[in-house]
Amino acid sequence: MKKLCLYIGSIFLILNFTSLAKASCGSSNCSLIRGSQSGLANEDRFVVDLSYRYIPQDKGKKGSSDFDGPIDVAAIDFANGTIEPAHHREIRTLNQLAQLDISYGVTEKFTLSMNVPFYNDRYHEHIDDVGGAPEFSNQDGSTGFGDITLMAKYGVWQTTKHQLVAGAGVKFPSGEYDLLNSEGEINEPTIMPGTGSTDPVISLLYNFSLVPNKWNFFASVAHRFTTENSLDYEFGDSTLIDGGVNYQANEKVNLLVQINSRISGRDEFLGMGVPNTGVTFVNLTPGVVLTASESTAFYAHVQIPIYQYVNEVNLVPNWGLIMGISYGF
Amino acid sequence: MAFKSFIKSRWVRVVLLSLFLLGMAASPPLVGGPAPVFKLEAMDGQILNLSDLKGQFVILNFWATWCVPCVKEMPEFQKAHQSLNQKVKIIGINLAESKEKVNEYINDHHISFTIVLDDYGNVSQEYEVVNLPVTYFITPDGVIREKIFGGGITQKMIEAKINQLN
Repeated sequence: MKKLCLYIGSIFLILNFTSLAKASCGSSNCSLIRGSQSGLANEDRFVVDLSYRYIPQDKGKKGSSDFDGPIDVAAIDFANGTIEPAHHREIRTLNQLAQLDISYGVTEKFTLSMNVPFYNDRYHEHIDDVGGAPEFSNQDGSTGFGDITLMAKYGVWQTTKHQLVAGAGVKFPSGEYDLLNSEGEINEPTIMPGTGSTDPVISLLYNFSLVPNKWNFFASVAHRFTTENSLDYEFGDSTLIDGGVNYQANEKVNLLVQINSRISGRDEFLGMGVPNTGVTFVNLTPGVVLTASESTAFYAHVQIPIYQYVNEVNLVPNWGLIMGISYGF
Repeated sequence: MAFKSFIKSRWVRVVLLSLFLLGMAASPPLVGGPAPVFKLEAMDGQILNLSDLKGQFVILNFWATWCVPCVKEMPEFQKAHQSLNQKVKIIGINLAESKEKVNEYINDHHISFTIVLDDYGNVSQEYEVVNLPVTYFITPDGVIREKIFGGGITQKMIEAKINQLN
């Protein structure tokens, strides 16, 4: 079996800041903070967002330092209830994820949203049994449907220039979390499409419009409280802290620069800390949103790591790409 | 941290209570009170001071060219401006768009009532504009008598409102 640390990044928040120009206009009025940028959809309107993420993970890290040595990581022996340290040697993982996000404005201040990671493909290479007879394997990745998250967001405070949106929701265990590897054993939890746990999620977003519809600054925080799954495995709690600015260059082009950070605690198996899990990542994320029509926008973001920390050793990404399309109706 | 212990922690309760109170809090209603005064640049470069209009009926319409419901009712304000010209001062307050863009719009649509530029949205903030369009009716004593959210205002509605407030 293998152990790797998947890099998902700030998964749902970054998409909440895609700008959808005229989709913010309902039949009788228009929101000043446009589209789903605020995390709130206009009353009685849907915003559908389809995104694709490509995240190659092939750079070695030891703590926060670059590491050229062997990335030997632990594995979980679910059958015997043990953790096997330095079980196998990581080479690389290519993550390709596709996600559908649907938001509906129940009222001007209240929005329901659903995040559906419907395609998770993780191609993985490692050298098995480091201590025994080493054997190259690229058969232990995974592909499947991920965990659905439902969120309710409420505009606590909204003026021309200020906006505060609080959210709460649940991540459901809809994705597979007990797939078998090439040896017929339960694969590593961190490479599964789902976590197998039902986790509460909370979020808070603040927007400040220096010039409405021109210069907008934001800061947000979201936290996922993890719980143990039926395999007695619990992922570490995860906190996303983001901040950034976007500039409406013209009617068609919106430029964004964000700092996205993710702090994930160490995973636990049967109450024991799992080596090589738990990370802190900070990324610089420039991006662009192109408005194609009154209801459609395309966007692309590149995530560039500026700080990466892993517990013990692990692979981290050199970069990441997120692109997608938003449609409002 | 487990979710239950998180919810029970004191600082989280303080934050949740603060959010609740923030959500419940309401600033004093503008309607029934004096209209906040402002000075904004008009399209001809002149500075329009609301204080100078005391003694007249004033209609303030907050709008933007990208706001579809706003531009739908602009011709209605133009018609009302022509029919009520001596009785009412109609002022369109554009929210944070360039002078060139606004100028292009008013030329294309033959808008002749006063348009001023709220470059940084500060006047919109004072007038509690959250969505566009918003229209205020101010009586000659400088008091806001009515606030209308959303589009759909017609010339007849404007004339009826002025007659009602007169």
